[in-house]
Amino acid sequence: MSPDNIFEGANEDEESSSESNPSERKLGYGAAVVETMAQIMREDESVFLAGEDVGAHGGVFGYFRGLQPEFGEDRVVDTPIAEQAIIGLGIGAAVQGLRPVVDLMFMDFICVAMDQIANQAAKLKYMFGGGATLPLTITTAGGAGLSAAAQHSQSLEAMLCHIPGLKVVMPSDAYEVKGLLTSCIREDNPTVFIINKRKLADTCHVPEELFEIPLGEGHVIREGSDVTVVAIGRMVDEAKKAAEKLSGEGIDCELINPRTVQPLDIDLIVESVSKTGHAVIVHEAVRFGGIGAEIASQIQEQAFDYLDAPIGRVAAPFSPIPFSPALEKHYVPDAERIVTSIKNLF
Amino acid sequence: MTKVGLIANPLAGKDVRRFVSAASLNSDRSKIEILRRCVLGAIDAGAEKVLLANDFRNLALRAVEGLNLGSKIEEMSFHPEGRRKDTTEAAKIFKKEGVKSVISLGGDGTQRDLVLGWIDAPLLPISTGTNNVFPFMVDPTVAGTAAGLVASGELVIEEVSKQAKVIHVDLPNGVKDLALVDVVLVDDRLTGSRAVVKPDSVKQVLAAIADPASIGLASIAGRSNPVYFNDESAVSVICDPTAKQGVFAPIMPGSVSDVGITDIRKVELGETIELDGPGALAFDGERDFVMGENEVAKATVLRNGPKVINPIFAIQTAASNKVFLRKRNS
Amino acid sequence: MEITDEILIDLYKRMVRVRLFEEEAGRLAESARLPGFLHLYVGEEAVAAGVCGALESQDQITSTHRGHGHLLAKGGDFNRMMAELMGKATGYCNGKGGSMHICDLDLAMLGANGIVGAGVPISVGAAYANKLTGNGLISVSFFGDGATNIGAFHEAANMAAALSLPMLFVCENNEYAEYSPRHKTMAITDVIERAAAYGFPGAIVDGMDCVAVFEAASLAIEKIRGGEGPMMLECKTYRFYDHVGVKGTASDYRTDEEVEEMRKRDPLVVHETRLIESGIMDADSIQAIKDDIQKEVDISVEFADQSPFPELEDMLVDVYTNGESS
Ligand SMILES: Cc1ncc(C[n+]2csc(CCOP(=O)(O)OP(=O)(O)O)c2C)c(N)n1
Ligand SMILES: [Mg+2]
Repeated sequence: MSPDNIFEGANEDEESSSESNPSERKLGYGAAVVETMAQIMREDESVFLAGEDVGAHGGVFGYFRGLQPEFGEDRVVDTPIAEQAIIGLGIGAAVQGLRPVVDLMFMDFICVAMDQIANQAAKLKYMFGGGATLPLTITTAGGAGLSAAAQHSQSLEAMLCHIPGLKVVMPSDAYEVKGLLTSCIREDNPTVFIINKRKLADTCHVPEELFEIPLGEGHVIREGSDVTVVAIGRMVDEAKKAAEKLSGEGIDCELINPRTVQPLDIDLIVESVSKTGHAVIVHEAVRFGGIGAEIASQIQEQAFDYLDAPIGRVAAPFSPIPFSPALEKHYVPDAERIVTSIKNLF
Repeated sequence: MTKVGLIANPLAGKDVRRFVSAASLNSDRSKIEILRRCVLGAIDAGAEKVLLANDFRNLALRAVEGLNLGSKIEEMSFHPEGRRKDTTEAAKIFKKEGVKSVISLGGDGTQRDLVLGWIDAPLLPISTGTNNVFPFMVDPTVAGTAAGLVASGELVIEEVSKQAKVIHVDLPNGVKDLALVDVVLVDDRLTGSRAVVKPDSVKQVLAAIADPASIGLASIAGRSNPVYFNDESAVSVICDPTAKQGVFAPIMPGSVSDVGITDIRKVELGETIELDGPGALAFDGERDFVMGENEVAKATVLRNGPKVINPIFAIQTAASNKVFLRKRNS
Repeated sequence: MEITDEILIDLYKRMVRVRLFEEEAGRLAESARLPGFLHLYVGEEAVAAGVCGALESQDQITSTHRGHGHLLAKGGDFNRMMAELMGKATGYCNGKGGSMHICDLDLAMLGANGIVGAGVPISVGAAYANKLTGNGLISVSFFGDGATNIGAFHEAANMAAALSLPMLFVCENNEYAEYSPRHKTMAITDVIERAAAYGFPGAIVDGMDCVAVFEAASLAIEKIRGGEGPMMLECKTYRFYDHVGVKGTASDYRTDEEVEEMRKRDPLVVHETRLIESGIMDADSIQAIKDDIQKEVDISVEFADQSPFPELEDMLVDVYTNGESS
C-alpha cells in the first residue's frame, strides 16, 4: 500500500466531528491540511513550507498537494533528505521573522532531527534571554495501524512534551486540523503539529474560512457523570465508540479531548474528574512514560479526594511497533480495550 | 562568424582506475572552472561566439552562469543522454555549425569520441581524464585564448596545429572504429568495467603515439620503442607474461608494471596490422569490443585526424606577431 | 581475478532470484496480500548481484528501505523472506520487521532500514569490529543517492576514512529520492565526489551491468581487504517500478518514455545477451534457471500462506536480550 492511497480512499461516511452538523460543509482530515495551508499562505506572505517531497509531489501523504503550483517553488520548497537541516532551515528563517512550516514526513524522523528540535528550537528564546522569537511549525505524521513497522508508526509526543519551549498539538479530526494548524502557524513559539496518518480520509464538518482553536484548551466531546475518559489524537474515535457502547450498559462517560498535550488543559480534566470520580486516559504511545502518566499524576495531585478508583490507562505495550497485522492489531488500543479498562474501575 | 566550440565529458576521470591506481578524481566543479576560464579566454581573444555543447551534467551551462555574456554564448540544441555518443553527436554539430576551433575536456577516450564525429576537427584537447596522452595539460585561460585566436583568424590554423595520426580499425562485425593513441588486444572476453587494469592481460599494443613520459597502455610501447606525435610511423608490441624480456610501464597513474614483451616493431603509415581474437579490444584505454576465436580486427594508421592546436606554441606565435599589444584610446 | 563461466552464471542466478521474487511480491502487493510498504528493487539487480557476488560469505552488508535485493543476492532464503513480507511467524524477523527490516545475521546481512542513511554508520561499526579483531572481513553499506544528503552518511564517511576502516560504500544512484530528481536536491551529480571530500577513492560504474559492477567491486574489495581503507563505488542504475509498490503515483515526477528508455538496458537482458552471445548458455538453459527459481518462488508463497501469524504472547519477546519486557 502506498501512502497516497490512504489519502485518496477518502471515507465520506465516517463522521467524526467534534462540532458536527450534517447540513454543513464536510472536509477530509488530510484535505484540511492543504486548505488551511493555502488560506494562510494567501493571507500571510511570511509563511512558507519546506520538506521532503512537499512540493512537486504534494507530500507523500498528499496533504500538501496543489500548494507548489499556487505558491511557487520558493514558498513550497522541496528539500534534500536532511531532517536536521530542514528543522534548522525553519529555525533560522523563523528567527529572521518568517513563519516557516517545516515537514518531517513521518514522526519517527524527529529522532534524526532531535538536536535541532530539542536543543535549538525549544531553547533559543530562553537561552538568548528572550531575544529570539520562533514562530515555527513542524508538521509530521504519527500513529500506527498501517503495518508500517517500528520506524514508521511511532507516537513520540511524550518525548516532545518533556522539552520546555515546545508546544505539541494532536488534532483528532479535520475540524481540529484546521483550527489548530491555524493557531500553530500564527503562534510565536515552536509547535509540533502531529497528523495521524490513519485519519487522513476521515471527513467532518469544517468551516470554509480560517479560524483558530486556542492551544492549551481542551474540549469536552461528550458530557457524562460516571467516568472521565481523556483521549489523545486518533484515540478520540475509539473512546467515542467505547462511550457509546458503555452508555448501553449504564456507564455514562465524559469524554475529554485535550487537543494539545503541551500545554495541557489540566483544569478541564480535574474539573471533570471531580465530578465523575473516575478517570481513564487513552493514547497510542507506549504506556510507560507516556503522556497518560503525567495526566494521571496531575489528577492525583489535584483531585485525589474525589477519586473513587485508581486511574486507568489504555496505551500501547512496551515494545517497538510490530509489523505483522496479527500483532499490530493488539498493539494499538481500541474501543474494546477502553471498555474493558473502564469497566475495571467499577 | 568566428565560433569556438566547447565541450566537456562529465564522466572523464571517474572510472575504476581510481581503485587500483593513484588516479585522481576530476570533479564536476573543477571541470566547470576550466570551462569558465576557456570561455573567458576565447572571448577575450576575439571569438564572436562560444558554442556550448550541453552535456548531461550541464557543466558547460553552469560554467557560464553569471558571466552575462549574452549573445556571445550559444547553447547547442541537442539532448545528451549520458552516453559516449553524446560527445560524438556534439562533434557532428560543431562541424555543421562551422566552428573554427573546438576545445574539448576529457582524457584520451573523450577525444576519441569527439574525433569519431568530426575526424579532422580543429581541436584543442585539454586533459581532465585518467590517461591523457593526447590532450594538453595547460592553463585553461591560455587554451581559451589560443582557440579564440584561431577562431578569430588572428592565428592561421595550419601554422599552429598539426594533423594527428589515427588508428583506423575494421572490426570483424563490419563496424569501423578508431583510436587516437592506442589499440590494445587484451586476454579477456568481457568489457566489464572497461578500463584495462591487469598488465598480464595485455597481448598486443598498437600505438600511434608512444611517449615514454606518458601514462597508459601506450607506455608499454613508449618505453620499448618511442614514437612521437610528429613521427610518420606507429609501433606494435607483442606482449606475453611468460616472455624473457619485460618493460616497466605505468599502465595507470601511479601503477608501474613489469610487462613481458616478445616482439617490437615499427609500423608504417598505411600498413595494415592484424589483431587476432580471441580477446577484447581496448581503444585508447577502454575495452569496447570482444572478439571470438578466429575473429580478426584490421588496423591501419593514417595521418588524417584532427588538426591539433598546440596552445603553448599558438600563444607564443601570437606574442611574436604582437597580437596582444593593443592601442588604448586615451 | 578471472571472471569464469561459473561466476557469470552465478551473477545471472543472483539477479534472477531478485527479479522473480520481487515480481511476485509486487503482484501480491497489488492484490493486497502484503501488508505495509513495499519498495521494489527491480531494475537495480546488477548492483546487488555484482557486489554480493564479489564478497566473502561473512563480509557484512547493511541495506536500505529497498533491501530485498541485497539479502537475496547474498543468498537469502525465499521462504523466510516471503513469510516475513506477509507478517508470518516463520519469517526472517518472526513477522515483526516486515519488508523494511528484513535481515539475516547468519548471512552477515545487518538489516534493511526504514531510516534513510541509517545503515551507513552501522557498517562503520562492523568495519571497526573487523579491524579490531583482525578477522579479514570487510563491511559494505548499500545506500541510495538521496541518502548521501543526510548527516549520518557524512559522519560515517568521515569516520571510516579517519579510522581507515575496511569498508566499501556502495551508492545505488537511481537518480531519484522518492519523487525528487537528484538534480533538485544536490548541486553535484556524482556521489563519488563526496568520497573525495572525505579523502578516499571513489569510482563510477555502469550499474545496469552486473559484470562491470562485479569487476569494479572486486578491484575495490581486494584493496580494502589489503588495508587501504574505505572506498566508494557509485553504480548508475534505475528503478523500474515506483518508489513504493508497483504502479505510478499521482505526480508525474518522471516520464514513461524515460522508464521505457531505461528498461531497454534491463540488467537481466544485458547479461542474458552476453551469456548467449559468448556461448556460455543458450536460451533453453536460461529458461531452465528461470523456471527453477520461479518454482522456488511459488513454493515460498505457499509456505508463507500456510505459515501461522505470530501469537499475542510474542509481542513482548525480544524487546530485550535475556528478559522480557513488561
Ligand atoms: C530519515 C528519513 N527521511 C526520510 C525518509 C523517507 N524516505 C524513504 S525512502 C526515501 C528516498 C530515498 O532515496 P534514495 O536514498 O535515493 O534511495 P532510493 O529510494 O532511490 O533507492 C525517503 C525520503 C526516511 N525513510 N528516512
Ligand atoms: Mg535514489
